[in-house]
Amino acid sequence: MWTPLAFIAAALISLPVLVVTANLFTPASAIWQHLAATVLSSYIANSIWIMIGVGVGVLLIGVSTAWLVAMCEFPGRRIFEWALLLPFAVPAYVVAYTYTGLLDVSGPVQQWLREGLGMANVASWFPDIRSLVGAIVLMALVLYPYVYMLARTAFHEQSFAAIEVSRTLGCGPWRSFGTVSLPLARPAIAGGLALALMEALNDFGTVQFFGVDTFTTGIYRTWLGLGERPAAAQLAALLMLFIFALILLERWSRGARRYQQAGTRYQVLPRYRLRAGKGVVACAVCAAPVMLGFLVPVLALTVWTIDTAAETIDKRFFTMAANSFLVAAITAVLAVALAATLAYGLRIRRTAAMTVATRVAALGYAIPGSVIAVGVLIPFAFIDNAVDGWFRAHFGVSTGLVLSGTLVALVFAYLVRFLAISFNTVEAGFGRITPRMDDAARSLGMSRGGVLGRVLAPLMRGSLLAAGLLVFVDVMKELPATLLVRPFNFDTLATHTYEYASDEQLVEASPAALAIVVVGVVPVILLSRAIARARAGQDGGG
Amino acid sequence: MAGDDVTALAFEHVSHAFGRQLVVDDFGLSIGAGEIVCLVGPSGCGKTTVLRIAAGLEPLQSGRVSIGERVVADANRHIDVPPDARGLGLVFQDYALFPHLSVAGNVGFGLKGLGGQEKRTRVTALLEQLDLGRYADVYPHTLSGGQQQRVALARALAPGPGIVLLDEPFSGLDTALRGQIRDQTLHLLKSREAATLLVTHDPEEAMALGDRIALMREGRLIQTGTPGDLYLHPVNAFAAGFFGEVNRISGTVRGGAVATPFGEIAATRLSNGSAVDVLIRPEALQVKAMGAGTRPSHPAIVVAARLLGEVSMVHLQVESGDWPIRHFHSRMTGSFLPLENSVVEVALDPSRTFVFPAADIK
Repeated sequence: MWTPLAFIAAALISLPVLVVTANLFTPASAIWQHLAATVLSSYIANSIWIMIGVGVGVLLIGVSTAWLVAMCEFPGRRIFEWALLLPFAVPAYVVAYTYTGLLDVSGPVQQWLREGLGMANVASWFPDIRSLVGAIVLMALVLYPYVYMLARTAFHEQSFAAIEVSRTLGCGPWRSFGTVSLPLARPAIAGGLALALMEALNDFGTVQFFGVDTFTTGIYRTWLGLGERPAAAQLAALLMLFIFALILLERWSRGARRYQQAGTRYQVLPRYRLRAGKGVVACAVCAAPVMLGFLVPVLALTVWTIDTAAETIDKRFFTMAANSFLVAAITAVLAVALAATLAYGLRIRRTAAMTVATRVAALGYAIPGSVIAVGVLIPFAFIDNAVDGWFRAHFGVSTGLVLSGTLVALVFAYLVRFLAISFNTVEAGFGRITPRMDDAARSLGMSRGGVLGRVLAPLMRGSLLAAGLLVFVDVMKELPATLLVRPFNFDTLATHTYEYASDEQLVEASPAALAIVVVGVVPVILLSRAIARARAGQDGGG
Repeated sequence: MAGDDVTALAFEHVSHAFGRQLVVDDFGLSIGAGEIVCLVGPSGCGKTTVLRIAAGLEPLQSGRVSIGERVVADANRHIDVPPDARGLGLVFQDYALFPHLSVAGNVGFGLKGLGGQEKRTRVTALLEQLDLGRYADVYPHTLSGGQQQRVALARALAPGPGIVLLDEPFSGLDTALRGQIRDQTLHLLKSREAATLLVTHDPEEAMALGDRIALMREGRLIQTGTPGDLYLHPVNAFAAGFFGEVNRISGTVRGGAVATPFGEIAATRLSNGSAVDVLIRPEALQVKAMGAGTRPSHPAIVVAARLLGEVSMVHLQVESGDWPIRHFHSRMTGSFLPLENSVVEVALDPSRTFVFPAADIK
């Protein structure tokens, strides 16, 4: 019973991905010709620039901070170890709105330069944050933790012997970094890079606000503005090609990592002690991204929230917060239940078909929210039309829209996008429980469902909770899919932030943005606790 | 042995493959009610797969399994009763105790349809029987290996199964503890009169516990019988070597007998001129000290002699004659330690000497 159930769930979740991919092979429409002739080249160019720029940025910040924290000892290292993860909590669009508020003509920085220092024509030379370069810098500031996290672990786990050998062969710290550490950590770094770039391509709020045309803004405008759904679907399909390349990169890095870890025993590396000047430099290198990617925006949002609390924190604000919590909670519960079903189906019988189905179902996380929105809306509209037509023909009544434009569609879109997170967490939880447990319970008269409910679920309560929490937070932050799929007049904290920002009411947007960041800090705390636990184990309790 | 005429668990023509590799090949065995059968063989011989097929944890691919009168799996008729409906007790090598349940929770896990009070009474009684009464409310990870093993056994026995399956139940225990736990397990299984299939790779364990032993190798059943049958009447060289040390010497049948350094051994069932292996158990070589001036008929020189507790091991070297090997082990009861380099007389006990065709050797 479990295997078909899991299979159906996997098929359902993979539907949007398949729908969009199918659009790669449909003939081009007239509007497509038009798009191709006018804006497509700028979409492609901007997307490539963003990938290059963000890629370089996250590598510089992520690798340098990871190496310092993993291999050196300097003041504040233990704090930076987890603090460097904090920018994870801030969605790119929130940073974009905040920095625009700080740095544009009427913002406090330029105001201070003008009035405080008496510089008359500040606006003429001050760099415009609302540009391609601005988008790249801000995205790199919040996406580098992907690289940092994976690279830090890789540096940490590197074989002591390999580095010792390179040192005894006469390599200084810099050369042994270049010739041993970096090549050994390369797969992990590539994996982090792939994840960061997937997020960069997924971004909608930043590029939309900065007026940088990319695929995501193109899809949004073609779908909602022009009402050209097939063309939007084809844009989505084209974006998928970029994503597939990144998925291949990520898969490759995982395979290489597994190979690298085969049969080595790890020993904690003695860290390079950085004193005086070098220590200060290391401290500054680590402090900068935490300041710019987390502290400055959070501080600004807090000040603005306090300033405007009287007008902005009203009944509407709480309704939106409740909406956000509601959809996030529903999605989290469903995502965990679905992930448990899939992972348990896979545990019972790991057939090739099952494996492929779960892989495709877990693909959603790589795929931009706007693409998923398109992939959800097309089949749902088809079903709605079919149902409506059938009822008209047989009963003479119109059912209208049954699925599209309802919470069902929205939650489904979230599930498609975030199932992978809960699935990976739940599957890792299953992996830690020996299959003998299942066998023992079965031989004592438990049904399959009973095994899941009475033995496995209690044993992996932590994993299930973590999975739910991660999905919850990601749903709270999600913007493009929410904008496209949400029911009419249904506002969440994310859409509210977006709408206020679009109206240039950046200060008024801050309470909702701050709420998103506060919720987003929770999984970062979880992550840092997991890191602390791992460290306690490595140091032998010391 | 109790009730041999009632079959509790039977395998007929069971075969099983993982991918292309056949791990169980036409396996047939029946276990009587209350009987303890030890399934023994080297690692990878398919014995654990047989046990998992009996429990329903491995889907049957071909053949038939029945419990009592009831067919629980038949590949031809597409019957495969799930493990939770077979009513078997199962003890795993790693015990697989539920870490989130107390000892009492583990033992009571399989007791369904009982009132809380009755359940508690039964769990307590079973724990007392296994000297675990004090640990009822403790969690498994705080227990020693031996205690965990007994909890696993109690958990399997609590629902009162007619059949108990044990997969290498003592392999996780250190040697000192193993004998004691093994005895306790034997007594408990006997008192419960459950039919038992115990899988082990240890021949000594199989002989210590089994009413009968089934010897497997490379997926095939080699021999079934009492421990005495397997030790004293092995069907081939593998069986002979598996249950005890042997001195191996190759030879040729001439006139219905094979020559050894210690006299001829009858080999009437093998044709003249065929190559054979002669397997001589160490206790078949009885060593006698030589009186001065006597000429031994089968002499050997003592290389070393060691007391191993209840027996002594004497290493012998044969000097004269043209033999493929010259070094032999003799096991003598009690303390028997002839001087090194002394010449001794060796007598051969033919009842503990076996002759098999040479092709059989491995």
